[in-house]
Amino acid sequence: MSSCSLNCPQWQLDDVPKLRNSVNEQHNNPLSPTVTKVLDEYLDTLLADESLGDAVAKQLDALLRTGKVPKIEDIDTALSPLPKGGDG
Amino acid sequence: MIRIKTIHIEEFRGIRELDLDLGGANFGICGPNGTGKSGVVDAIEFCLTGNVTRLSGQGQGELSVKGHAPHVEHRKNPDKAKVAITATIPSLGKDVTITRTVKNPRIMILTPADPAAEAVFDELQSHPEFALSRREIAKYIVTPPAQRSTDVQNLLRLEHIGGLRRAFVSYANICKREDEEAERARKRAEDDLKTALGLPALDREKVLERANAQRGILGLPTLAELTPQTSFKEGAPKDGKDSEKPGIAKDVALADLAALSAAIKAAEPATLKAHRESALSALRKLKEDERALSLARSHGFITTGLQLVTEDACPLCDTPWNADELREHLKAKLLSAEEMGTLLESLNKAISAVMGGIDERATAIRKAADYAGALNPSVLRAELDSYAEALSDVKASLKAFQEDPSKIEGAISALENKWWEVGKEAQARLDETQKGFTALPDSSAKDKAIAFLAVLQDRYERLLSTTRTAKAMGMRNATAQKVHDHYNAVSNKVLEDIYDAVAKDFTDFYKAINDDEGKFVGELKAEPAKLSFNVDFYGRGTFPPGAYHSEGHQDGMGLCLYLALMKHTLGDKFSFAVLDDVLMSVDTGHRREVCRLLKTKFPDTQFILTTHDRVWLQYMKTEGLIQKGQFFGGWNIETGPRIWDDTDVWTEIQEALDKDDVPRAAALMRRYLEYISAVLADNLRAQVEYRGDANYDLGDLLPSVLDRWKNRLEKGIKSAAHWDHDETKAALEAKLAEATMLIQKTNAEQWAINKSVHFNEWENFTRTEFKEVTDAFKALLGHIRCQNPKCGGYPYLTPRKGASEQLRCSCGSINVNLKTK
Repeated sequence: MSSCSLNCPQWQLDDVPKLRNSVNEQHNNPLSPTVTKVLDEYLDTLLADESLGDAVAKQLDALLRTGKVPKIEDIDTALSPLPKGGDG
Repeated sequence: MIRIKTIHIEEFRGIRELDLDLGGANFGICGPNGTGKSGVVDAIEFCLTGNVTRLSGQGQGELSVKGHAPHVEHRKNPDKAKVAITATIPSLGKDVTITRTVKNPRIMILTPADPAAEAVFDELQSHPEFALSRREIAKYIVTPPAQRSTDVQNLLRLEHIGGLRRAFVSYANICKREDEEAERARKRAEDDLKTALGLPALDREKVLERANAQRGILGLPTLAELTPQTSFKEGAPKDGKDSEKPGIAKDVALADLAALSAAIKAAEPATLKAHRESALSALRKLKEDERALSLARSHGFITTGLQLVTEDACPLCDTPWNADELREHLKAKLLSAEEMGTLLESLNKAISAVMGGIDERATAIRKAADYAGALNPSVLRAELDSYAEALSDVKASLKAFQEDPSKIEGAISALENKWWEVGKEAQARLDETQKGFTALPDSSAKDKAIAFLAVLQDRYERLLSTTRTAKAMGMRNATAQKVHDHYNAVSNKVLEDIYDAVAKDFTDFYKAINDDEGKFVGELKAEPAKLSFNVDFYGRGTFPPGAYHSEGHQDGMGLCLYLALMKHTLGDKFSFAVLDDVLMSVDTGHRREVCRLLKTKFPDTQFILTTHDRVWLQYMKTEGLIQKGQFFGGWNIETGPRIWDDTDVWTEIQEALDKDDVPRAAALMRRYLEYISAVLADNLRAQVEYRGDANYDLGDLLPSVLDRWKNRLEKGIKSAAHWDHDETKAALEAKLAEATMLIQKTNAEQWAINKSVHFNEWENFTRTEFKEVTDAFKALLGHIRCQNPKCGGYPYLTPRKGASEQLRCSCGSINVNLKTK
């Protein structure tokens, strides 16, 4: 007799062709076409801004496309290395 | 998406057991309030998503799906409550059955198992908006712009855009705060250097001049330029004559103490007073407003919480959670707190300025304490240290509020504190220190030079260091503001394009159901975290829908906005929607247009519509929006909804005739013809004798309708002849001949002159006689309606006012030009 972590009675397990647990099978949200469009245009804008640099733009873009809202530290890291301070 | 074929419901909400056969087509459910219609809607939502919005949405605190979705008799047996839906998936060309029990709402049983079908249901689960109730429709219309922004973004699956925006805002705010802090530190270092040099402003030449003057006393070479590597004290002896350590420069100390004394005498700096008072006033108001305070308190907490919802279980206790639901829940809260975020931002700005003043004072006091301790005999520095400590505490309270708005009490106390006032004891120590330094014998010129150069070196290096930090922070802040501004500009533009497209569809849809509002226009305007929605009001300008429009119009707008959003969100996948009593306020004049809108603009979408109004259901049928429906005739707790079979009227009439019940058959047909005559009179703009009580009987309506029908066909023939459309002309002539023949068979034209064929006599006919009448009317109505089986609607004239230009049906199969010029 197979066991079921969801405590389903045996007869259900035998009868049920497929059991799904939507909570356990969740992954990062895939980006919707609109979000992708925003990020594409955002990357173009970042790359066009000479003061930012391509490396920083691409680093930030990669972070934003993970499908998760980034933490503050992650944004800070993506925008690094910061330009060195001046000499006063 | 899917199309529903059948629904089986057991012990769910108010339903004991119910089977509905929708056949994958539009379906109407009609019944008085409290007969279980919404129970069916809940069952559909539950089966497809595992959730029931009515039991789990905002404000449903004590309700739950597990606790309250089962029939009340089975509230302790949630396994008895289950729903099964058989659905077609058009994109896969497959039929599947999904079953869900309330005991395990998260588990969907799919038969047959199919990964592609699973993906379809996953997507459906992420679009619970397929079910729209009247209560929810209001959220798109009469709702604050910030809330609408979230609701609409959720519907369009744009929440990630909002989430990224919030992350950029937080990052930009932190960078700005740290930049300001660094700049304040740099400014303090600059002021200290100016005080030591006795200069009102820093100037390279003058700095070198002062340094070289002292170096000259020590016989050291002149420094030619000022660089970051410049060492003012290079070559100077390390020790003064009387000390092992470099002595304190008397002049510098006196200058520092004089500057502090002047600052104390000036009381609260004028520039800070305004910031302190405005911050204090805002904080007091915030404290009085419990709701706002609660939002402020939870703002940071919710933001942090949102960041933590990345896995499927609590990171603290590993309890599984539904990350999507939890995220939605937190976002809804955060959304309400969005405006609070703006308030906190402006508060933080004022508080930062005050903190800068406190910092400056604390630094000066600590320096004075060091001077006091350096005197011989030393002046007691304890009071000065205490004052400096108290200033640090005040600053810490303000900083604590910036980091966690729940610490409002401490911030209010800190701002009420007159931190610029120095206590008597501390003032006495300052005076003693100043006296002590004044009384110090002037050291030798060489010792003074050594001490001066040491202080100068220290303050110069501090200025260099703080300037470097401030510059780095400034550049970091500039980058943060730039990436934030770019993001806002780009996301706003993309959203504006979307909203423009949605607004255009909305306007088209709304015009279609209100063709009396030809110049109507709707506008959706996106701002960060807001979505304003304004609609035209009879050319007098655009206003929020709730401003002047009636509730009926607002309902219509809500439906149109919903449809426009769903069209944009799902496109071709918008194949299924449940509209739960959403148009109860729409007046009869616009109902047909709503039916036509749904039918013509969304021909591939299966609508399941509930209404408590039988006439509404009839309109849906007459317009061909629905082919099938279900009446709920009543409800009781033991049996659930009482089902009335909605058999076709002709079948019902035939059944009466089969039982030789001519009076019932006659009554049925008369009622039906009265209803259809009213519809056709309106559609064809028939000329009916006006009655103030609007109580028209069949005799008032049908002859005029039939006369008008023939007249419009004649008009079509004339038009076809005018434009030399011979084929059309011939077809219309044939149609007119058929109409004349069929009308003759009904005897309707003779009702006024021949009482024996009048409809009042029908109940006295024999079964055979009445069967002839029935067949005649059935053939006549079949002749008038569209022959396209997918349409079957009755034709109507356009426009609805003025000269008729076209006779057409919803699908366009009937399309008769009536214009002759």
